[in-house]
Amino acid sequence: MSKIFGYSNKGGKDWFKSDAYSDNEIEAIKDPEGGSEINLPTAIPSPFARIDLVKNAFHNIAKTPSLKHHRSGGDVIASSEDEKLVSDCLDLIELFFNYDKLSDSNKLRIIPWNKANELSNLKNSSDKQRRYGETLELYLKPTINADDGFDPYNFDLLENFYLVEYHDKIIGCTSPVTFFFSNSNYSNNIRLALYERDFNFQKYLYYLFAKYPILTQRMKVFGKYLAKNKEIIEAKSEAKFRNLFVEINAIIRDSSAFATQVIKVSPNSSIPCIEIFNLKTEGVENPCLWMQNVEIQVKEIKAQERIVTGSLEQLATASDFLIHSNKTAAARKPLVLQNDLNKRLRYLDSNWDNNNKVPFVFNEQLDKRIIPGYNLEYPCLTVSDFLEPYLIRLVYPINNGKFFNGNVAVEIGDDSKGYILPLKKQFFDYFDTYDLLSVNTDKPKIEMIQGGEESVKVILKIPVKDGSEHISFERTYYCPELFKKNKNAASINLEIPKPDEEKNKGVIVEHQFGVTLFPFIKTNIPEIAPFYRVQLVDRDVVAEMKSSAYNLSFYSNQTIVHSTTKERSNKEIHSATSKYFVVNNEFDFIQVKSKLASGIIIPKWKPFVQGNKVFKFAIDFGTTNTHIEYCDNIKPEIRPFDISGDDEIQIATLFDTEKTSEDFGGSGAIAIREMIEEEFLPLKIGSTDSEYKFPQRTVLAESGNININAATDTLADFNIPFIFEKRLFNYNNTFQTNLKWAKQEEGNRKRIKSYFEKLIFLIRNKVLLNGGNLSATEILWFYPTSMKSGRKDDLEILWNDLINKYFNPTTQPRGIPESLAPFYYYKHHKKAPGGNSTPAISVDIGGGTTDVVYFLKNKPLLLTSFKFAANSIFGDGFGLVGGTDQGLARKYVPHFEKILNSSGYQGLLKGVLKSLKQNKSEDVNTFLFSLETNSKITDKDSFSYNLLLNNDEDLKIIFLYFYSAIIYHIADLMKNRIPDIGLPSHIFFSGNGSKILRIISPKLSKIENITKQIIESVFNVSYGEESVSIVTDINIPKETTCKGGLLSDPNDLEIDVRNIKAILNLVDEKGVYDLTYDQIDQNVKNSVITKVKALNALFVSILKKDGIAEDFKISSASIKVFETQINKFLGEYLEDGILFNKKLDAEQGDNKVEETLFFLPIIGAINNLSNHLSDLTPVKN
Amino acid sequence: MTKPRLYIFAIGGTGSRVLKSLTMLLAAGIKPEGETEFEIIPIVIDPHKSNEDLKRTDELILNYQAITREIGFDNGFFSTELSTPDKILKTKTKALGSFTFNLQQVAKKEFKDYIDLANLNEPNKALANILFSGKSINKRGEQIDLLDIEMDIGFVGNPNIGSVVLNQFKDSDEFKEFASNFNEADRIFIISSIFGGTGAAGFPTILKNIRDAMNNKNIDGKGFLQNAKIGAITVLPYFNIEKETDSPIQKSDFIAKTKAALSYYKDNVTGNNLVNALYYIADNYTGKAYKNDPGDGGQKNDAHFIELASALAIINFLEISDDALQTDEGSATCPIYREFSIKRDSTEIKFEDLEIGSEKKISLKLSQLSLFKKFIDEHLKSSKEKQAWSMDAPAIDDKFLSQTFYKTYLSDFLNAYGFWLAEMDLNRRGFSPFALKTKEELEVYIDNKSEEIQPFNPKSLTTFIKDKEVKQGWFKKTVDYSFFDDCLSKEAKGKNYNTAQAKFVKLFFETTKHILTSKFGFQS
Repeated sequence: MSKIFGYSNKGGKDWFKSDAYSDNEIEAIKDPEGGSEINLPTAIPSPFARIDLVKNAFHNIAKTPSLKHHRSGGDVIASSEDEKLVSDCLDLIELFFNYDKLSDSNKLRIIPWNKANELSNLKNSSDKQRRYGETLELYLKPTINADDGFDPYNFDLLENFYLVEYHDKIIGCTSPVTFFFSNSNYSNNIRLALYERDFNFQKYLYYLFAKYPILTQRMKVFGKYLAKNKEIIEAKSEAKFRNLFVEINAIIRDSSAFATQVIKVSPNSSIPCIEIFNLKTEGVENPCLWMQNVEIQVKEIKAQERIVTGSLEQLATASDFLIHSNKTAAARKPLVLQNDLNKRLRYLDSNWDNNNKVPFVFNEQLDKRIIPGYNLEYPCLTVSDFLEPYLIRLVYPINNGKFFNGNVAVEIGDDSKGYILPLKKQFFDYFDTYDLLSVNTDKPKIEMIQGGEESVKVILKIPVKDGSEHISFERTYYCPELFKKNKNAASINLEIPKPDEEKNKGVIVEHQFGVTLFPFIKTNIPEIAPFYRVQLVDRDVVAEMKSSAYNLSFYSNQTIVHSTTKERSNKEIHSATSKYFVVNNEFDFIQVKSKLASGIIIPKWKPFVQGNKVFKFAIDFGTTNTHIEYCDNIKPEIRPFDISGDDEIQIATLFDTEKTSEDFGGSGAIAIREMIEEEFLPLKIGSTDSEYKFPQRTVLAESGNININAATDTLADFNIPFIFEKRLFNYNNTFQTNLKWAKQEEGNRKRIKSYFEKLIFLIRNKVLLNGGNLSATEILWFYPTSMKSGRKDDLEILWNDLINKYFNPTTQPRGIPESLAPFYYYKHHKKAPGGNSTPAISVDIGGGTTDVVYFLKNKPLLLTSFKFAANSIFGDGFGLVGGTDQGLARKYVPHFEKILNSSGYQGLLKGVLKSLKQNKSEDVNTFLFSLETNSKITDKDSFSYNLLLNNDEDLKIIFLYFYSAIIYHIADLMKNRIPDIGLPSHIFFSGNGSKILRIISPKLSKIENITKQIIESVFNVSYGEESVSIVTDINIPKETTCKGGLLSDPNDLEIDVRNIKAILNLVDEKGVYDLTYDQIDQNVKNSVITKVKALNALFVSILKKDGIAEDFKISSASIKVFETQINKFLGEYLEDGILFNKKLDAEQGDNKVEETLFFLPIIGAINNLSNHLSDLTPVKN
Repeated sequence: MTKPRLYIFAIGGTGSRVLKSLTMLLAAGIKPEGETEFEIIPIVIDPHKSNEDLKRTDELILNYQAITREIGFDNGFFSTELSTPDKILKTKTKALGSFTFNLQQVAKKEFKDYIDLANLNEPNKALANILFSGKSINKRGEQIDLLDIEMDIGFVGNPNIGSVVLNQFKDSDEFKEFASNFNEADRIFIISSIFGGTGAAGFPTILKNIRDAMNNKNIDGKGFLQNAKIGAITVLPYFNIEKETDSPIQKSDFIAKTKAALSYYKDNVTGNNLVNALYYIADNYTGKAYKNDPGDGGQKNDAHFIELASALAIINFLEISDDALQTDEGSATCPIYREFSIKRDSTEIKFEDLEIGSEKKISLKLSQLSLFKKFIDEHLKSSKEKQAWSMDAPAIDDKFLSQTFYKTYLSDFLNAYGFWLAEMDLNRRGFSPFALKTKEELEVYIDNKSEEIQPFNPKSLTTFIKDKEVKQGWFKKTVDYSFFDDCLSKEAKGKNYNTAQAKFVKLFFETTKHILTSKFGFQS
């Protein structure tokens, strides 16, 4: 393929012959970034760049469908800068068109710049001026275009520029090619295309072009613009545009037609005009703009009209109809007008006369409106300025406690539907949301009356006459057949009729969407940065709304508030669309927009007072479950995190949670409710009437089509699905359970951050809602000591960043080793007599890790940690995702599937179980355990996985073996490292995994007995009279970490765990303490296997002692299997385990091994064992 | 009869870089076909005094001149006359041997002072206020009024400012002398980029001034100038710039600015037939990003194939006959527009990827110069004072090698040539006809600009041109340095050279041509 380094489509070789680049080639140049609509620096290499810029802007805008900025196929056809330049130019022409109506025409001044004189002035001045003048001259020199024979800017016809000064600023200048060009600093943010402007002005421009054909020839781009404008007018259906079109055509046919029509066309010939260009030499009349007297403009203008205009202003400011608003400037406040007024109010020079007809809609800009009864322009307001043509009806009543319901009154029908306020944005140009909610009589009021045929009459009262009177804007909205409650089937496909604003007839549209705010707090305190997430659920699938999308815009009473949007589910695929708006500013109202309609939602923010309560939180981010406990200085009792009181509910749903029926008034829009819990967060947590509580499964939900590499937002892209293990995911969501030990990469880092951030959100809002002081809040978090320091540092950075961002705390957040905290809990609750004179051991068995600390004299002496914990029994070993292949799950899943009823809530859970079967087996097992704690399961015993396992004589041996291995290792480490402190007297158990003790035996004494035997055997010393006692709080083993953390003395924790951390890597004899991965040779491996075999032998010997098997209800068949299987493949499992750990943290060969190798073969062996044992005896029902 | 002249106005960074490529081509002995020989006089116009590209080009041309001063123009390499503008200056007010036109009153000066805004009368002040209304960004990234912009940076993003400031060029001695000396047979070529600041503004300014010379009271003999044969290349975007939000150079502006400027040219350069031959070149390839530098810290961009192709446009312009470049009253009678193509859309262009015309024009000559450089780098030390070609008078001996001609002028020039090749090779789209070192080595080489290192992969002589196989055969001699030495000695035998300098250049020109045509399959 040959390659052309250019944009013409000509082919050729080397430097081949082509054409000059014309519009076609220029348009063929594609911007790889799609082009920009922003303000670009001037790229035109001429001092008269602005003239060219405006000319080009007309050229570009004329190519767009509606004479506005426009993109097509990723390319910018016309930028918003183009739109502004054109609008500015039209403003300037219009300024002169309306010159005699200008109230401040004395602020307008024209400065003529005569080419010959001024160039000569410059050239005869200083060197600098001469050079500048010569440059202007060079660029003003006409060049002749080969195509049409004209200079591209008509500089050949230029004699003068006229500069326009208005209010002491140069705002524009005449241009021989587009009439005018504006100053770049001219700021009128209202950009109007020609067809949006005054009709007379439009006609005037067509008149100019008709009268002076030279314009069509010389102002081609302007001519094209006019042609396009005419096409747009032709396409409009409103009568007024049809008339305009006819009139324009008449003017084009005969320009003199215009002169008779319009009031102020003929210039007074004795007064000079502004020349746009000069054609005198060619004997053609020069086009002028009707600007009076350049030299003495101000004084000579029509005095008559000025008097009328002046007095009108005076009369209006004294009118009783003047709007009573503090938000508008004092000058030219609008009059508020209504028909059929039954009040004696002073209008202008007399009282209001009902013969004056007020239109229901004005098409002109505010100050271009002709006030009724007078043929004069003055700003005035009518019903369509404030009320929308459509009224949005919701499929539920509005939550009036949290949102303003518009004072809806039901005269006929029921209150099962709510209404969005049909207010236009412009209303808030005059009033604030507080005004509308206020009970004061000098404020605006809205009322919505539901009447017959499901119609609604909306009355908006606008205060006038200094607030002592009101003008009523009223509009009735009719309900189309399609939306009627008792509609017949045939009406479902009916179209929604169009409202008629001119006749003041509104139309009701029923929309099915929900809006939920989080958090429902507005502090009005600038120092407390707001962080809002707003969920929008759209399941509008009725008729033409199926393809419509909703959008929300947020406003404070002063200005629009920036928000970013994320879509998670989409109704084309998931039966409902969910959008999330991230809003980092406080706002007062929301404008909701659909394809058809638009309306206003006003939250009823509660007054906020900053409190001084000091809260303390402890967050235990676990492998399986996460827990939060807290206390405060008023109520020091430590308790699990909750959202239980009605006034601490963090979200605000637009629908009334009490009054809304289950099926949303028969619409079936239940997604509006479901999506809040699935993708956002529940109303309450940890209260008696909530099924959600902490500890909560460590799981994160995210959009099914998330782009993890793009910017993500918590509670937009991610949320914590409290419904996990309780309900099915119905929408576009997937979940991630393995967060704590996930591979270290950017995506997982974001997930963990997001998980933390949501917890922090919950905590922050709780503090704010309960009178807490944000920066006094203390937050503790935990980490396992077996965690590689890189991984721990990551967590620490995440916590610190988040807590600093959201709390800016005076006390820095503290990370505490997980293993230290439970001891202080037991200690505090006087359950821990040991650890003072005799050694005590705290064992925290989690889902992923077990942490062991040896205490003497209440101080930690030694500490170790290993990834041998609950998941070693319930998980997939070192294998891949096992689902129900894993022994325990394989045995019990069919059982649970059988006993879970197929209907109702149990049917739902059955579905959840089915969906989890694709997942990791620990997820399946965790789910089975969760059943007995599920608040909706009443028959706890039948659904107790614990009980089932406790009674399973085949599997029991696994749990006992698991336990024995831990005790064996604990004793072994003690013997090796701290042999002289005596045998341990107390062992405390905590962590969710310690629930295994309950499976082994309900009687702790039996467990104590076997523990004693193992320890004695390892030490080869007898306890004698003494014994070992086991302490555990079996009901809340997980919670002890958080509670202990909050109870601990920071000084006790001021130890560097690195100094007391020990790893028994079984090569101590050879003097290698810090083992690296490279140093794991066959010798090391052999010593590990030997140690495991020693444990196995000891375990078998204990089992065979009298009464032990019976004590623990262990079947003899399982003992047989154990003996034959337990020493198999230990070498391979060890290798698997080393590899697994290396991969997990991407270890290098010279990295230190951070935990003992002892458990690696055991994990494999247990996995193998459970596979064999599961098949021995089927489950009894 | 004196040779006609080609005046090249090289504007801005792109101008300097294209000029550099042209110098390399001329050094390799590449010339326009045809009977007329031109003397080339480049004039660089750049407000960035510290521009690295400019400095590098300036040095290069000075070395070229020094070489040709000693050996003349008939040695194969360096066979076209490149002169400095001072050659035509009557009043020697400027330092000798500079190619650069320095803008006056630009540094640290605000635009409003440049046009004396404070002292303008009311109408002129009002007009200036609206013509130059708007905002820009200063060196500290702060927003300022356009009128307050410092002019040396003002060019970068605001060609409308540039057009005013650059117009002082017409008052300069350089322009006056150029205009007064311009003859009917002389030609003009203007190099500029459309998307920069300086080039986009400078091109129409210079063009208008040339065609408007009739009205310039400072100039004599301007009749020829109005109808001069003017060629120009406008370089459209062809590389990426690293994105930096605060820099006044924004890549996202590039395309929009290009389109705006092209629209302006459509009316004011091409629409009114101001140029006789206009060359367009662009590449939409999105490749290696240049460091974004608006010029103040030294705009220094690596050499690029597009610049080489642009230099070929100048050669092409000189090959157009006078008849095809007629002008009447400042308007070209039949303007020519050209675009460039290559045979294969390759990201690393080799000789065979070029269309046949370009390949024929450059492949042999560039290979000769490369082989010359390769020999010097790899083998000269072992041959000198040993081989017959070295010892025969005039000797290429240690003395010769320690003299300025070799040690400074030629070595510096060839080192620059080596960097030029390496940079084009590394760039994307790249030009990489020769087997150079690895990318990593080249990057180090370019960064350090150390004289010790050479760009070619030293492995073998036979594979140094990609896509060119050395014809091997049973009875043919292996191509190695001893073969090279033999060829040199054979070539030198019986020849009379005036000086060792001329001998060194000419001998290598002839020998490399012989080796490449007899062994590498080049057509002479």
